[in-house]
Amino acid sequence: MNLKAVFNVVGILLILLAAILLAPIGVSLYYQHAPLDGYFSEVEAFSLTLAVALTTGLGLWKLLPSGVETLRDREGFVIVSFSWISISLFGALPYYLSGVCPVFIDAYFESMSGFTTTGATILRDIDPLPRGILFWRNLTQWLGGMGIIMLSLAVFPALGIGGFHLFKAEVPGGAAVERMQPRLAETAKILWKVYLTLTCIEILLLRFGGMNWFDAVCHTFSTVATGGFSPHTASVAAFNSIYIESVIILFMLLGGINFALHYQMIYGDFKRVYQNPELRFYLSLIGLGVAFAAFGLWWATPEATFPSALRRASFQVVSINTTTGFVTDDYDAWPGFLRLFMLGIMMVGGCVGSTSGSLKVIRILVIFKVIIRELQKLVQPRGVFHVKVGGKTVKQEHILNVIGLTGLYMGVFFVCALLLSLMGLDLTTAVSASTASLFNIGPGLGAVGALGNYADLPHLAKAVVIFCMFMGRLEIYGVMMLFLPLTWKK
Amino acid sequence: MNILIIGAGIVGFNLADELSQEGHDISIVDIDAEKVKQISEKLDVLWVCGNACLPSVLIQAGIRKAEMVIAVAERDEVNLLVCMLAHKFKVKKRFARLRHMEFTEEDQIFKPHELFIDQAVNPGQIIIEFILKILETPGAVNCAEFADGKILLRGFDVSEDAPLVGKKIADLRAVAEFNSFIIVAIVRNSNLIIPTERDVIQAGDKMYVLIDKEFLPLILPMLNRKINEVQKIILFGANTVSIHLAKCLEKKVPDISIIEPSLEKADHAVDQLSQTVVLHGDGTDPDLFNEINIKDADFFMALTDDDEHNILSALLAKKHGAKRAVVITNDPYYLPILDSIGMNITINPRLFTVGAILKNLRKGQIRSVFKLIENEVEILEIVIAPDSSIVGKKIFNMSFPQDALIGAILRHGEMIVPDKESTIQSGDSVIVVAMPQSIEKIEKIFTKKKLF
Repeated sequence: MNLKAVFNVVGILLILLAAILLAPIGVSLYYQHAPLDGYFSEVEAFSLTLAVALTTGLGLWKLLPSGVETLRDREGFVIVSFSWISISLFGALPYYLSGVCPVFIDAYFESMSGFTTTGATILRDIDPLPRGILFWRNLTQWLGGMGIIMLSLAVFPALGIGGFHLFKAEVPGGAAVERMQPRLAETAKILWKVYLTLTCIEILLLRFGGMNWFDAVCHTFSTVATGGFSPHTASVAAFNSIYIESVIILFMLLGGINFALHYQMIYGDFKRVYQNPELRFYLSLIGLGVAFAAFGLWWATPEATFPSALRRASFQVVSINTTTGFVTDDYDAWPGFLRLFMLGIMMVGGCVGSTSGSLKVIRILVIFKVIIRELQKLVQPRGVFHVKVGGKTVKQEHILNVIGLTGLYMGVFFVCALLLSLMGLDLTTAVSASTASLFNIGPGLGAVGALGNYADLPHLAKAVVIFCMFMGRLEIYGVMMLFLPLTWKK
Repeated sequence: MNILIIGAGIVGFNLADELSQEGHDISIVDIDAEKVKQISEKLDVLWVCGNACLPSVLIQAGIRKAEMVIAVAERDEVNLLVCMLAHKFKVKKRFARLRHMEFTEEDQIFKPHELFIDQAVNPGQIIIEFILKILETPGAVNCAEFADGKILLRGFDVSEDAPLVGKKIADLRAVAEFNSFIIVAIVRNSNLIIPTERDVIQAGDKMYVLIDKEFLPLILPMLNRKINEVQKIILFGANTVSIHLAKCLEKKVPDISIIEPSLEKADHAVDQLSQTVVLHGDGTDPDLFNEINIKDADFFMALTDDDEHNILSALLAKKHGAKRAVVITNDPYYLPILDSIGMNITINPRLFTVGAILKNLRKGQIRSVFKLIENEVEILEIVIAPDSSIVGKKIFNMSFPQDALIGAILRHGEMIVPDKESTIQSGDSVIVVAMPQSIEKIEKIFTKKKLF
């Protein structure tokens, strides 16, 4: 393990983070919020963080030898894991220094939840908080959505040489995502351009729908990143506007689509987009989910009219399925079978190469087809059957990877749920908190439900949830690797 | 005409033989000294041993004087390059055999002429088209086309329950709807008969019929056959031909399986197919036959590259209840025995290729020649020249050899079944069926010029 090279790259990322911190400083200066008693003002908190991040970053970068060219897959995974840990760490400083989260684990929770685009929060009352902090909270989601490494690849083309190892380790779906350009840096730039385009369009659409600029920007950040932070305690329900909900539904859906497809769509290659099997499966799953939830709500609650049931169901199903976690309706108060259903679709997620978390629909599709193949094999033992997606055979090693990862997700989910119940959480809360964090949704059921938050969890439970969010974002394998002795062998 | 042939394999050899006999001057190039030696011993042609991709070798073989190049070397790459070089040498006509489907598919990237090829012949494609035509008319064992596909020749097995059994040819003539086709040859107990009015159709006969394309569906009920009767097909061997064939059939036939002994090839086949079931096993394994219920198979097609394996597996498949067998044999020497051991349909890719190239070569009076394997009967398509002595004559008055007959007349794009009163006009095409010994006579009759 070339640890020096690893920390060298982490240093570069911290410098990048320091540069990004200029944005919330600007916002804080504009809104001039008064500092909380006994704490630093917002501007001071951000500036201090910037200084610390910059010094550490420069130190790591300058003092340690660069070894980007010699990176292997294992260093890639370690770099990505370490970067996410340290960037969340530095990202937590503003919350802590400004007194928004007086306990450090809370600040770290909020920061990790932001960067991993989970959207779980320990903040009880969000509306009165300083604007700069709220902006930072949503900005972390926007950065985490496309990925910090991806950003650095776009900004520092020199990283591109060893960068594919980093790329694989960070992008949801990893190596399955196709490279659109011969140079990785160009691919990263394209992805960021697509991301920026989506962001700009949504900001304008939301502004047009009556939001102020601040709300529009913040909500857009967490929508396209399928994160789910809102600068309002009541989340999107605060606006009570069908227009705003529709725009957000649309962009949550878009955020859950492979960005390579957006790129093809921009270049008019509709045929390929239309034929993409994952996209079709994704849209049909969500369509079915919305229909099921809408009819379920309408049927189970006598006072509900169908349009209102449809409105609530479509927003909530899209929000949970794309792992965003915005709330317009307390789905925890829905009938039992729908609460279970919501817990189920948390494990679905969006497409590979999107900003969404969770298992991803392609994996579900593959597992579904593996089951069909096993059945075919039973009927015709000598037949040769392949698992095909979109007419193309899925390689055996990919199938094993998918099954292994799914098993791993289930295992980690169970262990974490068990740990959480050990810490005194009730069954619903423990199971849903484990799911909502590991699959990067945010709100769960019970105490951590749509209207609740994670503030009342014991510190140790918060640590478990933080670890879940981290593992979920990096799709477990990369994090688990850190615990494998083989990784550290010379 | 000076013709340069590249490749001295079975196809090159047969082409050289045929074209040399027709009076052309042939040069042949091959890189394999052994093959060239065989040619030099058997044929009166110019031969060069060398790499045909080198311009110097081509010049040595006389490409500067050649009016036509036929590239039938083993590899597509060689054939492509030869045609390109031939274009540089300003050879007017360039034929190439291209085995890769990509060059001949519908959505090809370059049309053959863009690759300097006048006519690309793909044996696999020809085999597939042949099999599809056979399946189009269930019960058919052989097929050919004349007059650009207007007139079809089909060979049928006559089964016991066919309504035609026991009927005299003369009786058939009396029924109006039977007037759209003509029985041109009957194979009975391995003997070929050119039928006269008095002959009676018997069960077990194999009869060859000339029919207008539009009337094809009419003939099936007479043989007690239905259009969609083929429900289950088993292919043995997963190669380019069988995979493409399966792809074409997937839409038409509900149950298609491919048996392939090599797991790697089986995997490759599965990658390309969607409905077809690919089975990993040997085509001579009775357990596997039982597992896939071969009793219900309408066709067993042995399509591997191994002749002996094909024949054996087809024999076994028929033994286990497959209704009909199709066999590919590359070696022409097996052809005479295959019919007698019950192989319903035999395909020889090399001879198919030769036939396809020859068909495209001929532009004179004799447009195409089709040889029936049994007893070598030939079916000729002849265009009547305006100054021919038989223009205006009634067929009845012609002194036609006993073992030959005029099968059909094509006039203004319509097929006419000739009777005694029919006359031949200038511009007609006639389809003539003849035994080899009378072919010379026939050619004389049709090509003789008017005296005044």
